[in-house]
Amino acid sequence: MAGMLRLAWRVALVLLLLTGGSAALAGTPANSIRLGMTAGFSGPTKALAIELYRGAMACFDQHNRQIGPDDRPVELLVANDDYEPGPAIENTVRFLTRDKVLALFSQLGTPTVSRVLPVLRAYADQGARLFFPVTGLEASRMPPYVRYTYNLRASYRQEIEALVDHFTSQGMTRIAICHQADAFGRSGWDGAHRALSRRGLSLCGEATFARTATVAGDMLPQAKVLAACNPQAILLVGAGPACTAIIRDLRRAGLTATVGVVSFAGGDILLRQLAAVDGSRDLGLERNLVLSQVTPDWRDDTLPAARDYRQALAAFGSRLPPPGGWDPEATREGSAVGFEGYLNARLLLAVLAAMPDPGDRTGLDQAAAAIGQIDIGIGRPVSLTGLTHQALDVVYLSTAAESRLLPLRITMATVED
Amino acid sequence: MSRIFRKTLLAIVLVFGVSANATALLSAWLLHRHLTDEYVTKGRAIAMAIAAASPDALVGGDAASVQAMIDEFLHIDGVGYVFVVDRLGRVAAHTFMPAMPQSVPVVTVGHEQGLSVDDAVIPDRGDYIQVTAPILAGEVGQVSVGMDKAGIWRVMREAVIRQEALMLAMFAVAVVIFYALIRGIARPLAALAEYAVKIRDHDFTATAPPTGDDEVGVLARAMTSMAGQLSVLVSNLKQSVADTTSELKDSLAHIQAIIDNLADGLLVVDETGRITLHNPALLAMFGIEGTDPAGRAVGDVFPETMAALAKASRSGAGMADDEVRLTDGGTGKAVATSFTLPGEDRAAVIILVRDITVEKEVDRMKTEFISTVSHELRTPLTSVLGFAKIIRRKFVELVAPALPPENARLVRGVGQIRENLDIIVAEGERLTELVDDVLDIAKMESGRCEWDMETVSLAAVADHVLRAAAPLAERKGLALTADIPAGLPAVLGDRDRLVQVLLNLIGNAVKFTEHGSVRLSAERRGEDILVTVRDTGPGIAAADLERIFEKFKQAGDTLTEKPKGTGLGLPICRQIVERHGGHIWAESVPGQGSTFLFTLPALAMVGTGCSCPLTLPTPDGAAGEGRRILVVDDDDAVRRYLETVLAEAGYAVATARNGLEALRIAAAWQPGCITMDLHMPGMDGREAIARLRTDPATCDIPVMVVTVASGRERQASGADAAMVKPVDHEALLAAVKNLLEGPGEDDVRPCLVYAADGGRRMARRFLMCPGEVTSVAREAQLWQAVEQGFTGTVFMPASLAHDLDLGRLSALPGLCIVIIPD
Repeated sequence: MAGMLRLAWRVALVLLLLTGGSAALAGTPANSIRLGMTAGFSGPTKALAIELYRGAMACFDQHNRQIGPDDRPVELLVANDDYEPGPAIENTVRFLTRDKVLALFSQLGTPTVSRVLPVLRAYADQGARLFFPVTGLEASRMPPYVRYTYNLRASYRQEIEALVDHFTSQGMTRIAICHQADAFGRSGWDGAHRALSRRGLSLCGEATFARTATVAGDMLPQAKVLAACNPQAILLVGAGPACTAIIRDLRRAGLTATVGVVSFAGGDILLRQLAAVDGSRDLGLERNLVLSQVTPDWRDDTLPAARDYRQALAAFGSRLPPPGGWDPEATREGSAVGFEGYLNARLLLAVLAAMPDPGDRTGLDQAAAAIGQIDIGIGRPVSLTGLTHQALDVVYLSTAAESRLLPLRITMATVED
Repeated sequence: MSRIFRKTLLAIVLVFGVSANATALLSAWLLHRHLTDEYVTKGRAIAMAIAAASPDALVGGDAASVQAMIDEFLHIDGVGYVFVVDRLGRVAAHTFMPAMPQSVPVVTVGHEQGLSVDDAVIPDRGDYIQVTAPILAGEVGQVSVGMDKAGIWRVMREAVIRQEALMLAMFAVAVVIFYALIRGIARPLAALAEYAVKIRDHDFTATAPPTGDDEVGVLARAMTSMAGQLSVLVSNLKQSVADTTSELKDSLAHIQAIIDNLADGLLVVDETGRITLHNPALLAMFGIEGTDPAGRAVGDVFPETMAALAKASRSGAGMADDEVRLTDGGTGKAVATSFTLPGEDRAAVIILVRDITVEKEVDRMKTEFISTVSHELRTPLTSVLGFAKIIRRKFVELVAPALPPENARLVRGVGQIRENLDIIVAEGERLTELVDDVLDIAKMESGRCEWDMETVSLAAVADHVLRAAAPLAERKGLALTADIPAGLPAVLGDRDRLVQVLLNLIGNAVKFTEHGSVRLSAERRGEDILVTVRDTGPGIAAADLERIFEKFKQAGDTLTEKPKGTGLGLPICRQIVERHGGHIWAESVPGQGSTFLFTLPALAMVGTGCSCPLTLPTPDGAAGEGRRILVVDDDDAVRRYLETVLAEAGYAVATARNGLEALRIAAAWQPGCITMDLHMPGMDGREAIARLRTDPATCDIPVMVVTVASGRERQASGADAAMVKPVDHEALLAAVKNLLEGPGEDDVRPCLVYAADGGRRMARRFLMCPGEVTSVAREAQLWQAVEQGFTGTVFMPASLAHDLDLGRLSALPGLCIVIIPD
């Protein structure tokens, strides 16, 4: 059944590439700068992928409309990979060989990206580069793969470090973790392990859940495992739907420990899902939540990028739907993930602007280095020249109220092992 | 469906079931082994692949990369879980959800071991084969791959199910094929079986089912041929049976007609006493109508006598007879014979019943006639004879002396009267004797005579006879001698009758011999005792030797010679001897004498002689055997008195104080007479007499009861003579004398016998009265005789004495009263 669904999605994708893709091509000159984006537009990362796409597309759309007639427009090719490594690799190879994209852009998810990294290495002679994968994966910030990737966001380790630092600063010592049973979850586990070790602590308990878990999934076994060590705080490393289910079942099981959630859970999206599963708010799922974000608050009017994002989003509207279409129930408001997509696109455009020949991949590294310290409107300059090819080392912690993120604290994550 | 097919189907099912399951089991086992090996190999390959690929990530602390790697392998079929342990033993990555179970074995493998294969049992998850491989020779850590055994079972199950399905399909095809084959065989076979059943039921009209040339066809033709032969055989057999049955029916009808028309009643009883055969005459005799008594017990239908008879015949010698009462009041004679059917063990009894009512009536009339004759002839004869004797005596004593002797004519007249009176008395006596003999022989011939059979010593019999006949022989100057050897066996016989035979023969010899001797001898000859009476008389003509044993025949011319007897003596002797199982004949040389011989069957028992010497009172020399008297009495005075009286009379006397002593002395001393008291301590007189009678050595010794006991006691004691104490010594002596010596020549005391039958038995036994013997049959006659002046000895049986006034009788003078047993 799952296979059938997957097949159906692939057929739909091909149709999109032939129709929607051609429509995009029709609206843009033949000399457009092509970018390839593969993400899980279905499955647990569906909401995340759509928001990411929307934010990025809003930026590119704005850019394409602002450029002059001689400038090459930016064309974003999108493919669905179901948050599975296999399709992600296939999509990547296709982007690189058949579609001849300039660069790969904003691939979503740790398990997918971690498997795409070797592909980049394989296509290194063709100058394959991945810009700003939406993952806190360590491998993309470390040799040997750091050469082929550029990151905007902080790593999971940094997020976890920030959360652990916050918890320990509150006097908590018994900290457990519940993570997705894959490389993403493992990187979070690894980060927690390291963060606690530095403070002379260790995880008091750990549990895993399936990558494909949905909101409807039963997480009581995990709650039971975690409850065994009576934790003061629980770190959650997973996609939005699974985190929603876990928070719900933890509270149902009577665990009142503070729950720390990494950015991949979606921030605003997570809060909306929590509100959806707890319509009457009896469970008080928003209480004792600490959400880690890698972008500043998109509602902050003091930030130009935040203003531009909301403006671009409004201008973009519902055009150019992603594979599988827009989620009719999702709000058209912005989100932390959407803002990340917008920022990714804005930084890439800056890199592209620094390239002498936007059609040649070999110029990407030079351009990335050439931009130096650049202001993308988030209150601090960013740079891609670091060893980790990471533009931002800031983790933004928030609490929740009324389905909105309330900024709690901003941590400069300078993780050094 | 035929039974053969059912059996074959069952066999197919069994064979297929066993083989299919065995094959499936074998396949499953092989598959299991193979899959297990494959899983181990696969697990090893995966573990080694991970071990080869993961060192960098592990060294770099990149747990996420390790996790990504092991997640890839998790999708391989059969892989249940993977986990990696770092060099510190911590789990760096695993694929368990929600947590890694405690029960997962964490194995440490050194590089020298290479690999470790373990069994892991994880609750709620299942059984796994865990393959552990070291990473970088164990320096970095190790990877464990858990292969799920459920996969093995699943594959195995599928394989077995497919195999069973294949077997089932093959089985179905096989059943169809077998069914077709067996139907081809079974249909003609079933038809043939049906045909065979018809032949078994003797339906020879049935036709064999059509068949081909195969084995079944050969069988069918053979059966048809056999059926034809059987048909011929059976019809022949039926014909023979019908013929035989018809013959049997005729034969049976013939026999049945004979049985039905038998005048006698026929009854056959089987060994259990049930009736198997009877005829109409029998039913008529017992008045049985309507019901068929066959099968019922004899006693239920017929009188008990019949049942007893059948039982006696079955258990006894084979023959038995008895009289039965018939329904019409008549008498039937039933004779039972047992027999065993030839070839069978079962014994049966045939009872024939003959109606002898008429014969019985004739017999009864004859007896009555004889009895009437006896009374009607003898009573007047007794009176005539008795009064003739009285007249003669009165005439001789009173009339003749009173007549003047000088009157010669008167003297001659007196002589004639005297002679005529003698003739009257002699002829009267002969007539009495003749009547007695006629009655005797008539009784014997009609079988009405009573025989008192007992063990008899011939020596004792001869002794009595010689003693009785001695006076007669002496009178004629003949020498009467006897030669009876000691130890001669006893015979079974009637003592009185044997005495009668010998007395007759000796009497004849004395009668017909004028001079010379008469000799009696007895000897053992084979199984018999031969008794011979030889005389030196005129002899008998050879032609008369047989005739003389016929009734009323005497030797010589009876018309010219005066008969010297009744002519019935020898026929009576023949009757008696033959009745005793012997025979009698005569031998003679005319002019030299005759010899009469008779035989009697000897008893095996030999007469006992004396074997125990006793101290006896020495009798005086003159006292011979015939003069010994044993006195038995417990009263000393009575004993001494009797001893004195008898000793003074010249007898040798021995005494005994009680019965036991008496027996001892009697056996040893052989007295001629015993006087016995009845009341004695120890063994009393009654028992002593009984014991004396049972001992052959003492059974012939006369016993005189001298007692004060009552008449009834005397009657029961069995003694030969009884006297009532106190004893009249003259009467005692006379009685003893008569008992021991018989009447002497000088003793002419007349006898009066008071008995219902005229006293023949008593007279013959005691021979006391050589002179006149008067018999009276009624009490009135007795009193009449004694009151008319009779003196002498009065004999009477105890039964009559009981009712008689003995006191009055004994008060009369000149009478000696001897009471004898009946």
